[in-house]
Formats: sequence, C-alpha cells, structure tokens
Amino acid sequence: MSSELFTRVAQLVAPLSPELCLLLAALCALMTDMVGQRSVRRIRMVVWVASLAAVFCSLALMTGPLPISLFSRQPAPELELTPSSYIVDSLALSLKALIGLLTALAVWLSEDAFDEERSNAGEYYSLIAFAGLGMTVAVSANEFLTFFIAFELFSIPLYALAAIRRYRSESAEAGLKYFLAGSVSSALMLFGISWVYGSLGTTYFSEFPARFTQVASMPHALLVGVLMILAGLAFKMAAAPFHMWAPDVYEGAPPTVVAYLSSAPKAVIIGFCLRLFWADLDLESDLLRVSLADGWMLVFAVLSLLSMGLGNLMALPQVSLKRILAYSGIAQIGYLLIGVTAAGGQTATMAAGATLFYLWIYCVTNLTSWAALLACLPSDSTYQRGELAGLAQRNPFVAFVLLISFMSLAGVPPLAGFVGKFYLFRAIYAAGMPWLVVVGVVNSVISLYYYFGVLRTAYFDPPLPDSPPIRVKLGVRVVLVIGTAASLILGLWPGFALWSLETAQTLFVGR
Amino acid sequence: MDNALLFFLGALSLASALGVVGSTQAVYSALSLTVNLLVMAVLFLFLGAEFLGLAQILIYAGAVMVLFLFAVTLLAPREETLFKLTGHPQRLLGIFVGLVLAITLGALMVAFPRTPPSGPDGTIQGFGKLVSGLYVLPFEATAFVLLVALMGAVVLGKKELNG
Repeated sequence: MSSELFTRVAQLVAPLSPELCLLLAALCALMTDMVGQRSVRRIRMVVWVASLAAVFCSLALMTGPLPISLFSRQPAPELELTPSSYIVDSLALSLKALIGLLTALAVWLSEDAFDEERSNAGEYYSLIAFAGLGMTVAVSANEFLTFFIAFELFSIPLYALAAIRRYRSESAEAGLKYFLAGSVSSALMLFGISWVYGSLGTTYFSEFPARFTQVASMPHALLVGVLMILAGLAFKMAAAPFHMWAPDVYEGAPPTVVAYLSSAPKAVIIGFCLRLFWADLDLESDLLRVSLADGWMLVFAVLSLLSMGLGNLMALPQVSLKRILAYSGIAQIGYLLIGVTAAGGQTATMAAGATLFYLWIYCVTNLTSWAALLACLPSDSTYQRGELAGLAQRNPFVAFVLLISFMSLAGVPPLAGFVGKFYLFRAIYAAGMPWLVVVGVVNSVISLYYYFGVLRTAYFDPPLPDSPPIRVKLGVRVVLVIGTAASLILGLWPGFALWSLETAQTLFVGR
Repeated sequence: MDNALLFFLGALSLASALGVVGSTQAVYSALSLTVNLLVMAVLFLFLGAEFLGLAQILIYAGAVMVLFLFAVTLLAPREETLFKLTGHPQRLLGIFVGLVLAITLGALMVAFPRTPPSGPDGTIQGFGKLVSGLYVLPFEATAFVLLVALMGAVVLGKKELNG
C-alpha cells in the first residue's frame, strides 16, 4: 500500500526533479540567511550543489523514456493528442542541464565579488536560484500561460540582481533600464498571447494545429499576435532591432550578474523559439508553417541578419570591454538565429541539433569571457580596454583563458566556436539559404577585428606601471578551467564534437 | 440602447486614458486612471466576465488606486511640463510607430469576426474551475513570482547596508 503510494509520488516528482532542486535551493538559501548562524559560504554551497544536482537529474532523466507530459487536460473530442501544459522532453532536459550548469558557474563566479554579495547573500543567491527555476520551467512550458509566468519568474530576479548594488548609481540605472525594457517586452508578449488566444481559443501548443484549421479564413489577428510574441522574445534575448537596452545594462550591472543574464535567458528563448515555431520538427501540420509557409524563416533570417550586422559593426568602435561583449552578444544571437531559421527548412533535425550545440558552446564561452575579465580587473574597474595592458605578463593563465574564449567566440578554427559555427552554416546551406552563410562568414571576419583588438592589448601592450598583482579566487578559477577545457576539447577532438552534435540531433528525432 | 451605452463607455475610457498621460498634475492623472479602470470594469461586466470586472473594481480601482493617491499626495510632486510633440527625433519616431500600431490593430478589430466570444465562462465559478484545473500550474507558479517580486523589492528598498 505504502509502496504503491511511494511509486505514484515518485512518478510525479521524478520528472520535476531539476526544478525541485532549484526551488529547494532558493528557499534554503533564504532560510539559511534568516535562521541560526549566518554563513555566506553555506548559502553559496546550497545553491551550487543544487544547481549541479539539477544538471545531474536532467541528464539522468534523458536516459529514461521520453517525452513525459505533465498537467494534462482531458482532450476535446475532436483532438487526437492529449494536450498538456508541461512537457519534459529531451530538448527541455538538455536546456535544463545547461541552465543548471550556468547557474552553478554564476555562483562560483560571485564568490566575494562585491560587498552586497556578502551583506545580502541570502537574497542574492536565492534570486539566482529562482531565476534558474524560472528558466527550467520556461523550457518545459507547452502552453502560453505557463511560459509567461515562468518568463516573469526568471525576469524579475534578474531585474533585482542587475540593481543589487543599489548605492552605485550605474547599477541602479542598469536595473531600472533592464526593468523598463523587460516590462515592455513582457507587455508586448502578453498582448500578443491574448491575440493568439482570441483567434484560436486555446493557449495549449498541441491544440493549435487542430484549432487553426477551423479558423483558417482569418489568420491576420493570429499573425499580429505571433509577431508581438516574437518581438517580446527578441527583446529579452537582445536581438536587433530590439537590442538597445543591452549595452547600457551590461555596462552598469555587476559583472557576475551580467555573466549570468547574458547567457542563460538566451538559452531559454532560443529553446522556446524552436519549440513554438517548429514544434514538431517533422510535422507538416505545424501551425505556423501552415499559416505563413516560408514567411517565418524569412522573419528569423532578417532578425539574424540585423543582429549580426548591427552587433558586429557597433562593437568595432567600442573601448569599454563590457560594451564590446554586449555587442558581441547581440552578434552571437544573430548566429544562433541562423540555426533557428534553418530549423524551419527541410533539414530541421540537423539545424535544431546544430543550434542546440552552438547554444551550449556560446553560453559557456560567454560566461567564461566574463569570468576572465572579472578575474583580472579590480572590482572598482571601469572595464576599459587599456586596463588589460600587459595581462600576458601579469597573469599568463587568465590571459590564455581570455585568448581561448575570445577566439572561440570569433570562430577561429581549432576551437569550439568554429565547430559550432561550421555546423550552423552547414545547416542553413542545406536549408536553401546560402546567402545567409555568406553574411555569417563576412560577419565572423569583421568580429575578428574587435576580439583581436582586446587580445592585442592583453598580449602586446606593456603593463601599466602601477598595476596591482592579479589574484584569482578559487571559484573563478574553477569557472575558467571548465570554460577553457570545453572550448579546447570540443575544438581539438573532432570525434567528441561530432558525438555531441549527433546526440543533439538525436534529441529531435522521433519527437 | 446597448450600442449607444457601449460607445459612450468606449469614448469615456479613451478620454480618461488621454487624461492620464495628458494632465500636468499627478493627482489628476491618478484620478483619470481611476475613471479608466472603472470604465474597463463595466466593459468586462458587459462581456460576461464577472470575476474580472469585480477584481478590477476591488483590486485596481480600489486598493491599488488608494496607494497611488496616497503616494501622489504625500510626495507632492512638482507640476510636470506637458510632453511636446516636436523637437526630439525619437519622439516623432515613437509617434509614427504608435500610429502604425494603432492602424494595424484597428484594421484587425474591423476584420475580427463579430461572434460572441466562445471562451470559458467568466463567472466566479468558471474562473475557479479554470484556476484549479486547466491552469493549475501557472496559478501555483504565480505564488513564486510574487515571492520573488517581494524579495526584489525588499532587497532594493532596504535602507542600511549592514552585515
């Protein structure tokens, strides 16, 4: 009797274990801060252990039978599928593993990074864990309302985290800007969702195709609704022309927070785009393919083109390292959107796999670049490029990490970034848009200029006379080693890269 | 009769919305917002969304507006200068984009089928069923969103920086 009950509870809890790990971590961090002996170390440990546990649970779930549908509703008589608001499939799980990893890295990175990290440790780490929770829920959402709530659940902590050094005007400004831009994007998305609901009468993705055939005469409201949702998503991932907030926010917010908010939300939104726009990747009855044929591919292609072009060109004249990384992030979103575009074509599985592969590489490399800058610059630094002068002599290890991660971001051959970009370009070529390959390659060449500009300062300029010695904290060192190892292994060991890519692709087969 | 009333309410809501952004005194803006929220509540009732209408009156026109008015009267902000339509190029661009959006949405309104909404019923009973059935997951998750918002507000609003 009791074992039967246990089995039923386990069946319900197991698919949600990554989320539950992060939720428990968030609540524990908050409680540890309030109850008993207050220990910042313990709070940190709770959150990173739980994040790694979430990674482990996600990977373990991937070996089991998938997909698992939770919170299903009774199907309407005209529908074949049972619609569910929450789906645990391999796409969601692989993204959950990535999010858990990024959360753990962000926690290691934050160790003693600034005063508020210690004085508000409970809130700081709890907010990070809640952001992670929101993201893990968002990648599993199979219904608009769930996605929107999860979207808010990870956005609100990030607004607060961006402003957490509230006595410094730039952090407060960054928080306010991020909050305003984010609120606009949420409002746009919610308005778009209401248009979609108004025209289809459901928020469940799996009901869309059936409902769509009933209202096929009037797709305009649906079209406007989906465009608004897309605008809201593009805002959040800082894709041009919705990127205006990114450089200002990245410049003002604490770098540890930026390292997190510039990588993890992008993973969520790219994953959600794959789910929403090309949901069942080999299903011809897909809602948006029915509604506008190749139109969505073109919309994504234009977003990608603008992001790559604007991001790379605007990065060229920058001297602030934060702004360089901000514009580089906008450009990288452009490369990722190439993959999303290709996922709409004939070779959807290949493209989606390549996108997921590059997403992993980009998120980890981006976080590593921020970690490298954080390691070698003092906490009151303004992140001007000149401050890196002579880094190679002052601390060869950090300089090497910076070299590897920037070259990987630029897509220089023996590194992971090159492999990822190569597969993206191959996918878009196979999808029948060779012009986007040309644009992508030209943009990669442009981006070499500013990445190498930073590296030239670090390697060839003499160190400033009064530059302090660089001491890298243990947590940051762990992040640097992991990030560099990932870039090198995926680049230099093609067998492993190919295996990961094929694994990424098999995630999409038979869904 | 019904149509005339609807048009009257629509005009009133537009006028009060313009009053919110257009008035130079913060108190007038807040009062216009109250009118706007009340009119919207009546429109929700017309649509058969009982719960939404009542919640709108109780929470927005009631609780939230009282807070607004308190804040406005206590802080006594100075008179704002009315926004100018000329000058800044971004402002012109904003007006242009706003017009495009308004025209698009207006055209959609005209094209939208005039059938009564066939969504779930908006009675309190219907709402309760939705929240505890179809949308139980987002409903539960909202609790955490509120918790997080509260934490964010506390951590940013706390006065002193102590250990």
